[in-house]
Amino acid sequence: MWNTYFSPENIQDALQIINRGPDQSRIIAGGTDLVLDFSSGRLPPVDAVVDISNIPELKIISKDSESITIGSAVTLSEIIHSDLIQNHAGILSEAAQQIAGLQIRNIATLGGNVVNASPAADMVPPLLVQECMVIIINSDQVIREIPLENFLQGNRQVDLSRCEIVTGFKFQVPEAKTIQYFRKVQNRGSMAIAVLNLAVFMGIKDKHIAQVRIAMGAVAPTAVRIKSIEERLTGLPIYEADNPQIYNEIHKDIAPISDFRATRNYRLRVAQSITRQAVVQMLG
Amino acid sequence: MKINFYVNHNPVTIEISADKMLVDILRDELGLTGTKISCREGECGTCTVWLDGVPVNSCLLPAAKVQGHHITTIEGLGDTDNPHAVQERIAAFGGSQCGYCSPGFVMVSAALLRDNPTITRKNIIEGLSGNLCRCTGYTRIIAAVESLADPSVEIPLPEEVK
Repeated sequence: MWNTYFSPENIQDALQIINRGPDQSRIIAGGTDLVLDFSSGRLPPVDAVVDISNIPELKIISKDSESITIGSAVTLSEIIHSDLIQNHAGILSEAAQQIAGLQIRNIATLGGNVVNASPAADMVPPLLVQECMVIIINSDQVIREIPLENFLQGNRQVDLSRCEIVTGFKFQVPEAKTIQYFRKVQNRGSMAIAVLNLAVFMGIKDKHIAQVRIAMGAVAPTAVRIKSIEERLTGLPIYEADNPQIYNEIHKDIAPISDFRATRNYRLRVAQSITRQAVVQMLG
Repeated sequence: MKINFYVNHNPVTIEISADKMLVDILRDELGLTGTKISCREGECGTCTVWLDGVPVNSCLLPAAKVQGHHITTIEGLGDTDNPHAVQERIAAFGGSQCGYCSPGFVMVSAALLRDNPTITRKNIIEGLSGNLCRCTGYTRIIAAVESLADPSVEIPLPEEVK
């Protein structure tokens, strides 16, 4: 699968190793997806893997007055046990708890879930509704930030070159009065890829919906914001938000397929109903 | 490449190829065959070991990752002379038939109880969701683990027998 395994302890060393042969290197964090990609042959063998999970600055969850930043090598278990995340962006913790099982969550990372970019990635919708930025460093030590929405380009495709490392994810501290919601629809209680997943972020003012962000995964090549419903809900009095008409054009924002987990029609119907149920529950 | 780590508190130094998974090192190089292989995909939990006390799937863990770390296998938790409380209880409750899944269930259960001695049934079930059993139907495994958190829990019996 690979010839050499590097475990650098700082970003500069990691970048230096990658720079020697970017097309023959691969970054690994937890490896719970990547090891399978190699062993199944989905990825060809490479010369070097560069393990970034020992780099301290990639393991930090921090908050300042403006924003929260989560390092790309933070594990899903660390997210679940973080008081900071629980207090400010609880849906990240809820989503992480529904990924795989305990053994995987103890090793798998937030960065891995996002960069792997499965259309059904469970951490993506909660990050999308935070309007999260992806922080990336390249081998010249130049840092760029790109909205997650733009970072995700397609099914397992992201805006990331072989000379770059995602170092973290940053989003504004949500105001205390915002309401957040997450739901994963799956064919088993756990250890299952999502049939659909949904994240909602809402701000209420004077009994009206002042702000709403809705993101859904497993219904398009990348998770998407449901702008048609967001537009209809914004400014609406909360007692009008349960009107089914608001949700009946969701098919304009999503493009689900039929696969062995669910049919296209099932996903279309469920997308509509769970979004309405979510809003009703959040306002209830 | 050479790796130095600890297995069940014993220091180990071993030469490995860089893309070996930990489970193969434990079983083939170190003779610790209590840890099992089934799916090799991180789905079934038979390969569960502790990495610094934390349950992980060793089938997906590159051995290179354990450099400097502490690995605990089932052999490190207990044996027939000195069983771990979880081993003793699962056996007593009839929670093991072919036995293949049992080391994995013991590794996770022991960690769950260590971290939360009064863990609830709901949280036990969630914690064990990464471990599959094809024989027992899970009820006796869960009851065994729960009985160590709540002594009033007994072996589940069918209604006709009670």
